[in-house]
Amino acid sequence: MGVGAALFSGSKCYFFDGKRYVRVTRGDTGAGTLDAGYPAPITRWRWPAGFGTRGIDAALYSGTKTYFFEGNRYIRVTRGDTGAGTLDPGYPASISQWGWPAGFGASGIDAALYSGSKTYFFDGDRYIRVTRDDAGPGTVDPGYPAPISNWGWPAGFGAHGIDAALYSGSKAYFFDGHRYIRVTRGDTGPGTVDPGYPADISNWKWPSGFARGERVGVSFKSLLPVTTTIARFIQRQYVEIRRLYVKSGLNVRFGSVEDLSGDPSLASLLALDVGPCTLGNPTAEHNLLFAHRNGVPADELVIYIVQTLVGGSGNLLGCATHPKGKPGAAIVRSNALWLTAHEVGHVLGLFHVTTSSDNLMFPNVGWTNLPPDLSDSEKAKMIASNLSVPV
Amino acid sequence: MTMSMDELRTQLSSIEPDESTYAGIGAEEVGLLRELLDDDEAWLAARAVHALSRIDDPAAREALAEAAAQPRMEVRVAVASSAPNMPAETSDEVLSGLLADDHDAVRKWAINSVSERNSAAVRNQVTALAADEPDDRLRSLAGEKARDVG
Repeated sequence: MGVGAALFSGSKCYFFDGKRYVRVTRGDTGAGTLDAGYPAPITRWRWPAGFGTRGIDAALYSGTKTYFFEGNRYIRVTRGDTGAGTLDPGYPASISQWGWPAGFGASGIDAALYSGSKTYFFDGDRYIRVTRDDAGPGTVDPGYPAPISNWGWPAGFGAHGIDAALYSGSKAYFFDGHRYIRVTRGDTGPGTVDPGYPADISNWKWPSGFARGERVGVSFKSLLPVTTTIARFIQRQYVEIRRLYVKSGLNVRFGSVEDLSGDPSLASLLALDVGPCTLGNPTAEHNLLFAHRNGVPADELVIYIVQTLVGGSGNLLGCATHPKGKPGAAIVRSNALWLTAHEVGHVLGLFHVTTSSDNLMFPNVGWTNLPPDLSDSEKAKMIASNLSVPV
Repeated sequence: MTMSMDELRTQLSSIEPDESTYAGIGAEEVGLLRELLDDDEAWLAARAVHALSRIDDPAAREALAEAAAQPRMEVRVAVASSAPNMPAETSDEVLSGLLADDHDAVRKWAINSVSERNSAAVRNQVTALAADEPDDRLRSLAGEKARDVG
């Protein structure tokens, strides 16, 4: 898997992995030394009730202030290099208070990077640069959001988003799954990736089990033409499943996207017959569509995007029924950000949870207290799936 | 009691609906369901069709007939696939048009929905598709259906 967030804090660095974190004493480079008593439970930060209890998405050093982000909320804390500090009044607050460009970071961010007079925020395959002081939202610089590809990272690294970013003096670190890179840079610009990177996060020598775990691979195949709209839909679905699952100890690897819309023999499958949509009972049309795996490894999932799904008692948003040996699910395009995460949850062995609309497996897209939750037993079940492979 | 639009949207927002998804939705909600037929979310517009098909009310039937001509394929597929829920006369009305739809997927679901209760004219359309349908799978499907419904 990887880290969920990283925080520069003077002579200390903090790394967050779900409900745990470590504190490290280090200089600008190198792994440093793990401080005694870590990993520690994230509850030691004494954040307000309900905030960050399952982990955070991002942390931002900002002089005398530290910001923590979880889903569409954030908090600001006044603190020194160590300790939990004091929560500033008025927090948690809505992430919308940052006033970012429309759509950017609306459901949360992946990472934040202090960079002197600039701050960078990352949301999937896009980022923004903001001119700001220690506190306040500052001003988004012209030309942003920009594609993450502007950073010029090595092929395949961070192409669909990163997990964390760490300011470290003349260096910046970026984390993507089990890999990371070190970059030499100033306040602005991409800088230069140092030789020898990407490297494996095992170099950080964190305690056994911390930020190490399992991974599931997901590819997308679309019967709809992969227009800009569909590409954005795929990206958002990926961002949300990755952001949610990484806090559950499961990294999500983005495989590939394939446009199947040019195959006229598949046209009638745009309205896919999923029958009763029960696991282990694929329809003839499931068998026909899911035969198109085209190079996706047998232990990775394929998410098929169709125009409509018909079965059961009407039309479905998603259906995780799949032929044996061809793991995957079918979904339709929608504004439901965690639809793929829900269906992948089914494929990994989870069942519906009808008792809490906070839970990812609630059978309705009206999730509450976003982002949705996964219970500890659900996380364990997903990690135990044959489709979760050790990194 | 009549539902609010928020209540209706929430109830219809099951990821994998079952009959409880439509429980308590009746003639009083037809107006709101008609609004949902134009919702930005095509899946929700289609879900409204399935709800309408379960309401025994003239206004619901009128809405279904209009939905059969909607430009969005998801909505027309919903009308086609929910035709078995409708009274025979409404089913004939919508299926006669949808069996001739330009989209393969709509014709597929229209063929699926034809049964012995449909008019001879509708059943004859299926027989014609068994001979003339350009898509191999649909032609085969129409052939099987034509044999089933005589």
